[in-house]
Amino acid sequence: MFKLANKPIDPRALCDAVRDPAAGGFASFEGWVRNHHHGRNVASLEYEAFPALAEKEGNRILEKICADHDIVTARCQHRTGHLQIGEIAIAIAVSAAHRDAAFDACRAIIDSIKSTVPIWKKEHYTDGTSVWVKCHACADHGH
Amino acid sequence: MKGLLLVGGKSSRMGADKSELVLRDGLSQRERGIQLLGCVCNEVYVSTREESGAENTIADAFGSIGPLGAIASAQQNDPDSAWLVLACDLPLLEQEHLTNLTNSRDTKKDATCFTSATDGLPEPLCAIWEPSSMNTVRESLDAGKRCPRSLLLSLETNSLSSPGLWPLANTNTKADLLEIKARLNKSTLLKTISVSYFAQLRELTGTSSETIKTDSETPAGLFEEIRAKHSIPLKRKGMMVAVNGDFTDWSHPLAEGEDVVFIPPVAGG
Repeated sequence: MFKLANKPIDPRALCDAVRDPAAGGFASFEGWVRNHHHGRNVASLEYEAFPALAEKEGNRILEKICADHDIVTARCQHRTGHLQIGEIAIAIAVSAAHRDAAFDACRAIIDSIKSTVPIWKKEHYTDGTSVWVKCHACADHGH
Repeated sequence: MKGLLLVGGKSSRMGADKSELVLRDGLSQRERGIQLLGCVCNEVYVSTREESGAENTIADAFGSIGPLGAIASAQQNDPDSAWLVLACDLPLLEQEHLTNLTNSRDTKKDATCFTSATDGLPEPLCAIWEPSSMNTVRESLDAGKRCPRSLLLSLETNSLSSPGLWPLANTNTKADLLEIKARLNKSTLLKTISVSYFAQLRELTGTSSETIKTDSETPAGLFEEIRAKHSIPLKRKGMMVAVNGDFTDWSHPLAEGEDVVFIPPVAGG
């Protein structure tokens, strides 16, 4: 189950949600707000989603990856709003009978989410400027 | 003045050679382009990617590096002539637009061109390139800069006001073709569409949603209208679109009352 969260994510609760007597392996991934990007000093990050489609697409990704790998349960939460350095932006929890499936699925989930779920990130820098990440890079070589 | 018709594009987004498309008057885009240029130029040449040996063609002399290479090749072929450069894939361009361009020509400038309706920048591929632009064109190519639009920005241009969104609309994608065919057939219908904006687009438009009356047939046409309306510096390439809450194709046929969201490259995680 994929959910957007506008409050801090509790990774322990996510881990508990995938516990299962049939699971022998657990893998998780957390994306944290980092204080630098491409050599610039980042002060904070702002995430904005197209909520209805973000949750629909996030759930499609989880369903597909659970079907492709031998997974017991997977959960993912993605933050929206203004996040400070060190906060959790995304947390993924996967349980499986064996470790390979858990590791592989966890990796596949974060990669897919980054490529198609409609969530955008604005970086606020310590010099007071801010930029929507990626969108700017794609804005046609600076016309 | 000589005419140069550009037909050498890779047409990768259409999956077919754009210059052979027949959209008007029973003529291919190549034939129609030659006809349009013939009315305002003494001689018309077709730019080709490779040497064909055919008469009135100019092969790319700098490799297959796009339209600026084609322009440089024509200028090398005749450095003393001005070149009216025209992309072959502008089905809604009329003779009167080229007449307007040539009548407004300013030989003291490096180029005479239209302004784009969508981004207010000069349109390089329906423009008169004067001999005085030649050195800058070559220097740009030598520096690996191949964008003719960026180059025009660095030249002294006589920029004419935009002829509107559609005369300079090209047929890069199947969605473009649907829009253009509807206008050629005069089969467009006015409809009310609600558009929601998120993140960068919300900031650029200054609103989170708006209702638009449009005669666009597809989200592709609607996005071009919105780019023009709000001066949005993003292009469709690399973006996705959602209609009624789920992803769809840019050539989706828009219906009355649908909800559209344009999705710039995402950056979650």
